[in-house]
Amino acid sequence: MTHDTIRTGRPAAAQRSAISYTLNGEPVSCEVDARTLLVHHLREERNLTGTHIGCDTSQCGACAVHLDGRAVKSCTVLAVQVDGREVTTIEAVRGQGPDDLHPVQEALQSKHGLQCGFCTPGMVMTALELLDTDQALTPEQVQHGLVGNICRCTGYQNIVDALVELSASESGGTR
Amino acid sequence: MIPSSFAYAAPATLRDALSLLAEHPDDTKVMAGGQSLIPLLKLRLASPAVVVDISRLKALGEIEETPSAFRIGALVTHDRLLGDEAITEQWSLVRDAGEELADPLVRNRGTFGGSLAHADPAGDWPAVALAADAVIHVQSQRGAREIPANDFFTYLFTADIADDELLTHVELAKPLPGTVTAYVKIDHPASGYAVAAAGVSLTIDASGTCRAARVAFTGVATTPLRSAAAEQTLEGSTIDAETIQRAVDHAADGINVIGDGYAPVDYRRHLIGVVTGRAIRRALDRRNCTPDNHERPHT
Ligand SMILES: Cc1cc2nc3c(=O)[nH]c(=O)nc-3n(C[C@H](O)[C@H](O)[C@H](O)COP(=O)(O)OP(=O)(O)OC[C@H]3O[C@@H](n4cnc5c(N)ncnc54)[C@H](O)[C@@H]3O)c2cc1C
Ligand code: FES
Ligand code: FES
Repeated sequence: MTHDTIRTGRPAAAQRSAISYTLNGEPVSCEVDARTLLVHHLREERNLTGTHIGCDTSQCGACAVHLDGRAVKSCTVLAVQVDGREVTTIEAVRGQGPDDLHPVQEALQSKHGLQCGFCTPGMVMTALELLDTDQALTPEQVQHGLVGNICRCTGYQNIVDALVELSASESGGTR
Repeated sequence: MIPSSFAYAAPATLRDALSLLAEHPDDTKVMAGGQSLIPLLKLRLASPAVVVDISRLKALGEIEETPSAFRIGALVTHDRLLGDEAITEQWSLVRDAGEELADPLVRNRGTFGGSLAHADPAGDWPAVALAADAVIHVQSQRGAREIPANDFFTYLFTADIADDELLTHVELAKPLPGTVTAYVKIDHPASGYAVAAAGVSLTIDASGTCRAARVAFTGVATTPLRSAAAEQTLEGSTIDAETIQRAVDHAADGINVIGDGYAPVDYRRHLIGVVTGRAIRRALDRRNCTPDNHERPHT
């Protein structure tokens, strides 16, 4: 690619589409390039940089957001596809704890379930769906539920411990 | 990376989708869950001029049950299929395969039909479709066709589906009485895809004789495929330890096994035997749970 095309930006063929969707509870209407990935739209066009990009191959889960309530990899969804739908990012995850932390975030903090924190927003978004059950989860179930989220620091054990303990306390210890 | 530019359409009806495909047969890509296509777009291994997003075609998103079959819409997600108790109870291998397929985030978006159309030589649903004798239904403006799974996968990432055709649904007949099934996968530790996996379906009559056997593999050749040698060994036999060993020993016969840096040909041949044996035993173990259960052969 020549510097010219880089500087002039979008090729002439690029197609802009108007989309309207709900982002963290607020209505959004805008135009996006068809090829823009949801994660790039969120980070660069909505300035929500809590959603991370950790890979080029859809494997790491650092980009996890909720689309209509289900955890998905926002690097593997086109922004244009969220038209008419509901997107929730880590910025909307709040709780009653100190610093408005959500119980999942508090559990990770108190169990030392993060080091650099790069994977953490994705871990939290995946964990929210995983923990959306009345049952106490076993360590195996938590590990299986997190296979789409890669962490290069913690060795996973503390993340698993944090979520197992939280799910036990939330279910009143029943299985 | 950022995909190259393309024109995008998300038709609301099957009719509109088929007419778009008929208008732009070349250089157009259908997108369903996008969990294989978007990674390819990002790496620019695919750079279509037009993307036709079929994810809003409601008619393709349903599971219907008739007295004799399940009709699974192409857009049914991996997660939804895994959550369908009627299907996973009658075809246990669907649960086995679904639980090990990718991860929860990918399973929330990826589709059953997309997985079959993509014809990944290491895809899990293709081997399930082969073991269950699924029938794949495709449609275009020119008409509709149905293709037995055994004829559908033709080459690496290539299936018997034309550029103007859409996979609409898959018909999964209900298993015959006495049928037990299982799926066993040895996955690559990094990618999670099968290095070798086997889907097995065994129909065993009241006397304990195997009346029909399907043994299908993925991850081992240019396409997912069935093992004629293993099936012939099992059919007509009472499946005892010796028969299983013969099926294991001959499972790779006649298959042009692929090798790579992770699993060279000889090792993969060995793994074909391993997954064959494990899947047969896992299926037989399930005979104990069926109502008209006969004494289980030693395995
Ligand atoms: C991190 C990761 C791990 C994965 N691990 C596994 C795994 O372990 N096992 C496994 O089997 N898969 C795995 N996959 C792939 C996943 O299962 C995909 O969902 C699936 O292969 C394709 O389905 P899709 O709906 O996402 O299709 P898309 O990506 O939308 O499309 C794939 C191809 O099929 C075509 N196509 C899709 N639907 C139709 C249709 N209805 N009619 C005609 N053509 C159609 C498209 O044109 C495209 O060429 C993984 C993917 C990722 C990102
Ligand atoms: S950035 Fe989305 S999976 Fe890695
Ligand atoms: S805490 Fe560093 S990647 Fe997980």
